[in-house]
Amino acid sequence: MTDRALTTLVWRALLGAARTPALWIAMGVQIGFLSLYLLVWGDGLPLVGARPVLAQFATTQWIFLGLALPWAAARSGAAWRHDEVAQLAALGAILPSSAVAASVAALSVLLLAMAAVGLPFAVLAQQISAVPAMELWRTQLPVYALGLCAAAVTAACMLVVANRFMAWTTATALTLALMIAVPQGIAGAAVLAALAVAVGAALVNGADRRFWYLSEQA
Amino acid sequence: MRTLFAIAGLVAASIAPARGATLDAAAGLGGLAKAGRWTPVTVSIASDREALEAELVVAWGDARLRRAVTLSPGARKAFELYVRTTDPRGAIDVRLQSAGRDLAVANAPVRVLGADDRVTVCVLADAASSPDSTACTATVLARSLPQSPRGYEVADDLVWPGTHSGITPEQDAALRAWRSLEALDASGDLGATPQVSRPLVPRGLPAALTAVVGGIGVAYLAALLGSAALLRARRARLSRMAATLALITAGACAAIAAIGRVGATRAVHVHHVTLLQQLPDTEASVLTVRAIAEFPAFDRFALRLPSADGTLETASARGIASGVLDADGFPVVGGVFGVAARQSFAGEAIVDARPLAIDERGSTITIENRSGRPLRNCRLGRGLAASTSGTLAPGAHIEATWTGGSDEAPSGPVITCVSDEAPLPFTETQRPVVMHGETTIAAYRGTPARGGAGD
Repeated sequence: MTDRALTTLVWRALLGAARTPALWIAMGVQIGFLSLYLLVWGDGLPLVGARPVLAQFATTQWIFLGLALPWAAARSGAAWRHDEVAQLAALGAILPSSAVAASVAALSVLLLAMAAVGLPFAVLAQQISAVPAMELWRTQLPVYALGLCAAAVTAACMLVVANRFMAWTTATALTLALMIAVPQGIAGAAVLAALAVAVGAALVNGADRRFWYLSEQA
Repeated sequence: MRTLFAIAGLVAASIAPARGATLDAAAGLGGLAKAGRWTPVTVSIASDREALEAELVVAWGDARLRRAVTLSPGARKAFELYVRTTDPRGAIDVRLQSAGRDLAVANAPVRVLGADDRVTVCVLADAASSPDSTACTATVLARSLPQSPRGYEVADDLVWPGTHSGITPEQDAALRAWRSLEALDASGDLGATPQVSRPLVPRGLPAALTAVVGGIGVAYLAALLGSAALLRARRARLSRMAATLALITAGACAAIAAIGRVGATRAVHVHHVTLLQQLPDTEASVLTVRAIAEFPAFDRFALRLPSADGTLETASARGIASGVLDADGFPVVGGVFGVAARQSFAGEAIVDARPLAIDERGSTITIENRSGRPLRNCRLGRGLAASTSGTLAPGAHIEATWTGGSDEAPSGPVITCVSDEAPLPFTETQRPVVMHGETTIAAYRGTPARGGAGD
């Protein structure tokens, strides 16, 4: 399997996802939600000991994406199931690990793009908070790392869990659990990114043993 | 041992004020002060050999006042500042600072009196004179009299026999304004005047920015979904899709970053409730304002009240009231603020605006609008009646007659009117300022006519 073939597979997965409405709907809902949030609570949530607007916004964005990213990934068409990987490997004369690697890579790109769509509103929150631009990246890097992590976790769930709905639910639950477990800030971003790499590597590593054949249900 | 001395020397140098300027300070009217009353602080600064660009910091109890200072080499400048606190101490701390370092430090002692202690200040023509009255609480040289009526707040009475000479026109105007204020206070007219309250501003983004942010959000959404639909319909290449998505997101970021920097969004909005009290028998009025400023961008601002005899106070969460004066002596609300940041503040100033002219002849009072703008909600004071009231067009007048009994003394202003324009709009060096709110104008009867009906 050459790099070029892998790139072609990733390209194919991305193209398929870009042409499905799920990703665009998720992006649209995110834009609507974040702009409404800032219009209503742009001067900060009225809480005792409230944190700066940027920190409040990042928490809101974090929770929203924790719920929305697994859904967008599951509905995008780039999160290939067990049987899809086996069929693709057989028909395309490629290793299942290549198909899984392409799926994880495509999902990572898609979810990164989805997380990046909220950047203009994060810029506004940073301008409202009157904090240096460095603070913006301190809050946005964990969001992008969450995108990577959600991509790997959703890809794993879609490959392992038989029922699509259950796979999405499990992916969401796992993503939320990871969000709670990791520390905040750049350290959390590094942990999430490392987890994403570890899960992706484990999936690719075991793919050639697990996904040669169609499942019993197929 | 030598190293030890060197370290000790370095530590001492970092603690001791840096040389380069000399500072002298004196405080209080004749050295007297009271809690909650304005206290004059006279500061004299001289620069040694280099030009000085520094900040004068006055601290007294829970109050802080900062004033920007620029001085050419070898020059000397004197400043008259005013500070008040509810927690007065025996000395006012004055520091000249530059880049966070003290250039010079002075302490101005004051004698703090109780709120009920009666204060009679005797004015001396020169240092060789002695007071005629034995009831003087303190003496002040005529040339040292304050240049603002605020400087007399500690006094209940001022004794100055003979001709009033040796003072500047500013000192004379300040003295007249203070006497007028004292007379209004003694008659109960000041207490019967409605005071200003904090303006009400709804939570959320300021109205001016809501439309802009909402518009950018809708445009961003439309651009994203529109281009997605178009690219899907034409089965565009993935690279083109990615480039379009990146371009739209970058465009939205640029639009957001431009908020408060281009077009009408650049303006600072000030919501205010203002009271303008015309002092009888003087050319001055007392302006009292409570306001909330809404800043349009993440930037440094200096919102200025264009009155040299004024103050703007902001209160911190710890209850420390602080005021800032710029290098020209004008009060400012300054600092770095974010987009849509709000800063509430209160201000006082002595201004020469007199929108209403009061002419009293016998039992008839003629009130004329000289403001050049319509005044609404005009209400006559107690015991006065007129055929018309309500709105007063520019140049129009009302003739009111006294209808009260001879034993009924008038109380409060003769008339109050409301103007939709601020008598002293705020300014900002880099941006336009839009004022929202209303000003209540209160005019009082002159001193000769005081004392009751029909006189």
